[in-house]
Amino acid sequence: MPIGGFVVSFLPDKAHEVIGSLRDIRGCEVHEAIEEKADSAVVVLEAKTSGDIEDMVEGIKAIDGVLSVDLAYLNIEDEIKENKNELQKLKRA
Amino acid sequence: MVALTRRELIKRTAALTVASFCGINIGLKKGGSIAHAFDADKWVRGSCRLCGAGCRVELGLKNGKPVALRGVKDSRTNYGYLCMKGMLFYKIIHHPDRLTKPLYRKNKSEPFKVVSWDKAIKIAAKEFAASVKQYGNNSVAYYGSGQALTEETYIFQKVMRAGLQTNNVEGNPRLCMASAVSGYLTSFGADEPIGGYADIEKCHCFFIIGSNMAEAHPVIFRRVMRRKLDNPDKVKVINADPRVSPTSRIADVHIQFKPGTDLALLNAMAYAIIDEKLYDKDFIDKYTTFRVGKKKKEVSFGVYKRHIMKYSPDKAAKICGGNVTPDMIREVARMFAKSPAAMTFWTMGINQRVRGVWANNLIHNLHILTGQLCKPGADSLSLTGQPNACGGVREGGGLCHILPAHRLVKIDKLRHQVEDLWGIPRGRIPPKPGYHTVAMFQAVNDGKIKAIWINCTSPVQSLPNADKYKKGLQREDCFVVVTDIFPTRTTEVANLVLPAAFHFEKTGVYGCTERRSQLTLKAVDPPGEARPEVWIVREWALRLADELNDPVIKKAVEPFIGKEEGYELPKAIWDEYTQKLTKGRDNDLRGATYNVLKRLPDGVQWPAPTEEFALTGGAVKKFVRGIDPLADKHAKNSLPYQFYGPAHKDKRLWVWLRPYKGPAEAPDSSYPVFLSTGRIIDHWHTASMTGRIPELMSANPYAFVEVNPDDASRLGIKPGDMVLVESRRGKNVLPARVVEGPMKGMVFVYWHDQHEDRMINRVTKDAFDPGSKEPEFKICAVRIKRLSGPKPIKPFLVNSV
Ligand code: SF4
Repeated sequence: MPIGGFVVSFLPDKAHEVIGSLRDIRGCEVHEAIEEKADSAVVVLEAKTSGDIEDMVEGIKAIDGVLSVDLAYLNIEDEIKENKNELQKLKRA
Repeated sequence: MVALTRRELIKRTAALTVASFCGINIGLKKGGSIAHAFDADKWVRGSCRLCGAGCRVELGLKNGKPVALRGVKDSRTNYGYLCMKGMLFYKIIHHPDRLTKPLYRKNKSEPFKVVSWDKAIKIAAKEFAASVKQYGNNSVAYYGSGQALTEETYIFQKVMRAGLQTNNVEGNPRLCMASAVSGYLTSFGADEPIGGYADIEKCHCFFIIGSNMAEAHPVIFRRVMRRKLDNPDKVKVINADPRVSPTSRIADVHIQFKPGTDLALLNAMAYAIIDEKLYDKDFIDKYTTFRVGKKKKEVSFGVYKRHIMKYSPDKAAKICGGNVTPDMIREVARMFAKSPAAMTFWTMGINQRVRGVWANNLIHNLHILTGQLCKPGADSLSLTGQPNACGGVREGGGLCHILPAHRLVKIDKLRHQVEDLWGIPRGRIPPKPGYHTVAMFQAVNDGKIKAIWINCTSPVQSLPNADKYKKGLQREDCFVVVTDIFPTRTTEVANLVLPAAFHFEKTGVYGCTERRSQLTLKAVDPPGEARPEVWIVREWALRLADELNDPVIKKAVEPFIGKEEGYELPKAIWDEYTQKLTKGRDNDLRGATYNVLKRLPDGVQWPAPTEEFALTGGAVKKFVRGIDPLADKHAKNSLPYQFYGPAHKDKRLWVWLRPYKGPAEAPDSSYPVFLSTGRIIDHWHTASMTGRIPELMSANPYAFVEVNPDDASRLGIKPGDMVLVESRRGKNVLPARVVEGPMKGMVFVYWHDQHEDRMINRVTKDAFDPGSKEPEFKICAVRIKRLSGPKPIKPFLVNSV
């Protein structure tokens, strides 16, 4: 299960709606800024594959008011292990 | 403290890393060392491979295997941020489709057979030597890439020039940056931008023309967006593009002009600046001359003023069409000229034009006239398309008319300098430039080139009017070597396919848009028998020396013999290039040694003549005394700016008188619609890499044609319908996307798709700029027709050789 850390930037006047929509997404953990910045939030996404993470990112991009979704950290350890297991399974088959 | 699970700890690490990057306080406390317990045990630093932005990234390894990725927080390019494409590149390392063994076939109709490296190198040497012996030195060619490492481009061109005595050295940057090169040389007297990304945070007016940087350079666009969001009233964004793109979203003004009318728009902005006396007279007096024509004749400001009077906003608005009005032109000219600091960004929309050099000149004119240069926040900045078009190809000598460190082939003195530095006899490098890209593939068509080495690029898909040039490459009397990591449309026409190491599987330098050289270190071994190109070229050169019985070929690679290929060999090549070839040149990189590059989170902006200076990060601004050491060294007077570039003897900036010219092929009654092409955020170039990353491929599995809703309703096209896009050269059949993107009378197609029905370069035109020789990919005339309703489409990749 890969885990990615993102910054979501949005139009300040849409902050409330955007944060609300983000909270509705399964596997999405929202860390709102506790200070003055009302135009971005830190978001941690967790999904089965990085494909699912990409889908979640696409979903977030489509939220009205969202300007960009930028990644800063990705942990892929599990996925690489899983890929390897898949490959080994294939090889054995 | 309540014990956290391993996953919670990873999530906390992710949140804290991100929060620290963007300076957001999210109220989480670091769990001491525990928060990092599940992190990588080693981080290897490098640059992202998948666009020209130059983002710095660290690949996390655990027991030698990649397990995590993170942006480099202190990097002055991306400050820690990456886009999805950059994040997923690790999937290419050890991808099951990777080429892992040398493959050979005598005839192109035969299947490939696996051969040993020894045999492969011998075949390549024999074929090139035979061609040279029978047909002469100019019967062989190298076609490289703005994605090859600088060390690779440098050694390839050295072997071709010093060894095989030909200047048939080209690369795909001819297709993307050549007009910017000529623009900088003719306007500023020196290639590459004066400023860089650091200007973004000080800029007050962004003028983005012919660039969809939101998709093509997303992380740099993020900085522009932040600047705007943080200062919504103070900072203005002007976007000029015939297509509404994601870049337009943050614009205060979107100028939608008819494709190919940019020269009229830019001249009219200059008109408004002159007419309303918005120019900086002091800057013009001190630093500028006015020039016209092929002979570069100097004329007075008065002559320029009379010339520009032909381009009144009224007249230009009529030429430009779209939503352009005379008032809009005047308004944006005022925004630009009156701004405390203005920055222009452009990419292929300006460069890939039959008058791309002139378009570049006219942008620079606006900056020179208003003094929007050299001061913080002001710059005329061409965004590079590829990660190493600047560093490797423009600086390293990767085009047919240039030698390393911005030396022109045709100038005897400069050519002899290179021969002396390489320790080879004078006269060894021919005085005449070789074939430029379109001419090179025409020469292949004509049977003049008998052996060509294509490295790290896929011209069968990326050349304009692609079918025409594919025919030449299919000829049985042209021996084609391809070095790459995956099968492509070009491996399909190869005789010899050599498996190359990928990024982070080898060491070397990339130089991005802003004169910045950055080192990527080897982190993992390449799969199977794949090898770094520098090793391949060295071994090939040694065989060539035997085949042609020519000790000078051996001499070209002598300093590199016996060096270990993962680090020592590229380091030796970089040392020779920087310490010998860039010494005393405007891109002096002597301070940017591997040791210095390893110590810095990002890299060094040249000129950087000493390690001490390089360790500061180098020159943020060229030509400014106190910032650029060469400006101090070459100072001719007490003025703060010193334009010491090699191309202008008068050491001044040149404002050019350039007339309006339209595109090479405008719509007519048979082909009534403009076609333009470009990239989509998830895919890189020909998609040989990004097409193999399932997350990116599933987001955009195939190309489509964007049609304006008005045109769609007129032609009865509904979303998803299959549409024929046909020019005088070829046709595509693509699903339609009906969107307020391209303006009325224009369609837009992405060029990454490898399927022959959707390879849009079969349709584009190969007319090129007479100065830069860069083709006009961005504009041609087509007709479109609805063929049927939606059809199921399978994504396509060339997946075997
Ligand atoms: S913006 Fe370009 S260089 Fe940066 S992460 Fe994305 S693809 Fe890589």
